[in-house]
Amino acid sequence: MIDQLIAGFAEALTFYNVLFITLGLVLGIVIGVIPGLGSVTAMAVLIPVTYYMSPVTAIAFLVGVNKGGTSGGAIPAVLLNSPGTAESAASALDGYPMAKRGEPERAMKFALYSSVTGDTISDMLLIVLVVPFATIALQFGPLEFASVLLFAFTLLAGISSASPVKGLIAIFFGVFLATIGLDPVDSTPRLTFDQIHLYDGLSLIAVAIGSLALSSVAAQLLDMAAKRRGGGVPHEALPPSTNRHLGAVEFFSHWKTIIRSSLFGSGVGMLPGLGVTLAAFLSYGAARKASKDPDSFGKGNPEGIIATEAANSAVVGANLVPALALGIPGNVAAALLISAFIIHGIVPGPFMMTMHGDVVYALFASMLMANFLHLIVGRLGIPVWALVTKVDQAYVLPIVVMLCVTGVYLPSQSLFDVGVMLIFAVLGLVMSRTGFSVVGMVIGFILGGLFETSLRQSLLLYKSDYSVLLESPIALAFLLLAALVILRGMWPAKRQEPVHDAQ
Amino acid sequence: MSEPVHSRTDAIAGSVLAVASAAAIFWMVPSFVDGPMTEGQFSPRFFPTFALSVVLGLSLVLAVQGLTRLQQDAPAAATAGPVIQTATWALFSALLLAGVTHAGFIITGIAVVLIWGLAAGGRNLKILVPAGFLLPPLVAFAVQAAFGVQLP
Repeated sequence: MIDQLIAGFAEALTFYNVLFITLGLVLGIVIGVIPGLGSVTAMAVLIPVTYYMSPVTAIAFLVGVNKGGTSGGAIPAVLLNSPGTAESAASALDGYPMAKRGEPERAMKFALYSSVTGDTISDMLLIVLVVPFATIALQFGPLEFASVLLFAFTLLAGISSASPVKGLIAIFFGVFLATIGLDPVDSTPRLTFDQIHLYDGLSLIAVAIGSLALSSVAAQLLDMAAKRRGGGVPHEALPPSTNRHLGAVEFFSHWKTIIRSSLFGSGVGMLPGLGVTLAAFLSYGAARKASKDPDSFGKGNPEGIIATEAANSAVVGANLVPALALGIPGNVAAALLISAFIIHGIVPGPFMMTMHGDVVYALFASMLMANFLHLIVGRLGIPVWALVTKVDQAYVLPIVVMLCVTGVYLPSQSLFDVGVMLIFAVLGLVMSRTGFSVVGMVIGFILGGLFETSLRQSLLLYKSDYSVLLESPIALAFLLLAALVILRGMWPAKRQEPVHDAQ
Repeated sequence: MSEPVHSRTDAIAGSVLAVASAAAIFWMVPSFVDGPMTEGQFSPRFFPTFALSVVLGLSLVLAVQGLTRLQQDAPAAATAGPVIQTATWALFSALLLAGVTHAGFIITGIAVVLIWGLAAGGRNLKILVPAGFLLPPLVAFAVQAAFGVQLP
């Protein structure tokens, strides 16, 4: 493993790779600073740009965007009490009070150093764990894959969605959309309506950008238009900075919180559907409980910032463990990274390590380099990020609309794909207004092909003989877990009925 | 949204999805997907039908859940705001596609930035006008220079 990692560094340490990682970090931080955009929007819009890059540079660029976007949300949280991303909301609880007492730069440094440290720990866990995970996954046959995917779907629906039923509807709708195109066995056109553009199925870029990025931008523009005011965040002026310094000794004196939060984020990141925001808040709660002075949380205790930022950044690396080893994304950012891999001809899964091991280790090296560059870029740019917080969204969001059009048009120069993107933007808007999970639909769409192949092969191989489940403990275990998640999702509704009936 | 409005939305969404998925299963898939072509293999219709069947079943559950909760709670007044907003965006999308197709990216981009910038509350014309007139051509130029792709 060490030899492969050294070889990875040799491949990753090129001028263009370093340049694009840095560019990705800067773009990610800037976009993360602007409320309402976030790393997911950034990644969705920027994926088409990576078409013209090598696979390693492309993925490293997107990882940089993801890392920068995740940590960028802490800056407006500290300066304006208005987090740029949901996962940084807990950073505002202690970051803004620190800024109000004259320590905004110290707060942003705590956030940056925590992000980088959490990221580094989770990247190292990724490097150590992905090979054993992939080795286990090599034992998986189609039945095991179908079971794991079903478990992932139920987990996504049951935990990440307010209504598990709606979550599953969204996911299986996405799975259905993935069937548009040519049948994988017969090459028979399915639901193409005699449109040659649909023979390869719906464009993943159009679906992802439309439903994730453009629908979110549309919702914000419509809300701002309804209120007839700009989206700039009003804020009270902060007092002059009295204490800017944060040394390494002081930062690492909080090592227990740093390690606990990084492990929280890594654990959450490895499970599909749990999300970055959950990791951040779980970690914040745990840090407060473990603190000798829990009442100081929410009043400017730096451990509040450390707990949030270390955890939410640790998700970034960890969610690549199931993504690379099994091809199953931990969250939507990992799903977009999987899309980028597929676009560059690399199919994530257990064979990825054997068939594209050099690319994988170059990616690991790029991720570790990105953490180091993140520290430099983030630290040098602190005065600049503060200026970005003042930009009014009313000027930024319409430009993002045109960038979405550009991003979808770029790979195939097809206006048909632009039309698909616009349709999915409307669909995404309807889904988010009615409580259906857009993320679930996109992940169902990405994994639909794999699920179909696994299910069809399983049914053919075992000719619907269900006793085969007893011979596959892995498949049985995941199916039982899926059933447990479904039952758990239904349980609160069942508990309420007896109380209501009694009344 | 309050619980009764959620219930109404769930009941309507569940019913609409149930009807749509049933229509897809019994009309769309048989009409637009050919039957089995390879002996011993699943029909190309199998998996789309399977996915739609799951959606149909869950939609019926959702509709029943929504109707049950609606009967238990006093219905609150629903607003037309979200519907109007969605219709507005759908109309804008149609115009955007038509604009990009017939007028080109730059002219459409200028119009989008200016119109939405004003509609979203941007009032500083010293920022809005230069942004509107400069950024779309800049993006088009950058894409041409970096990727050799000419936007419409």
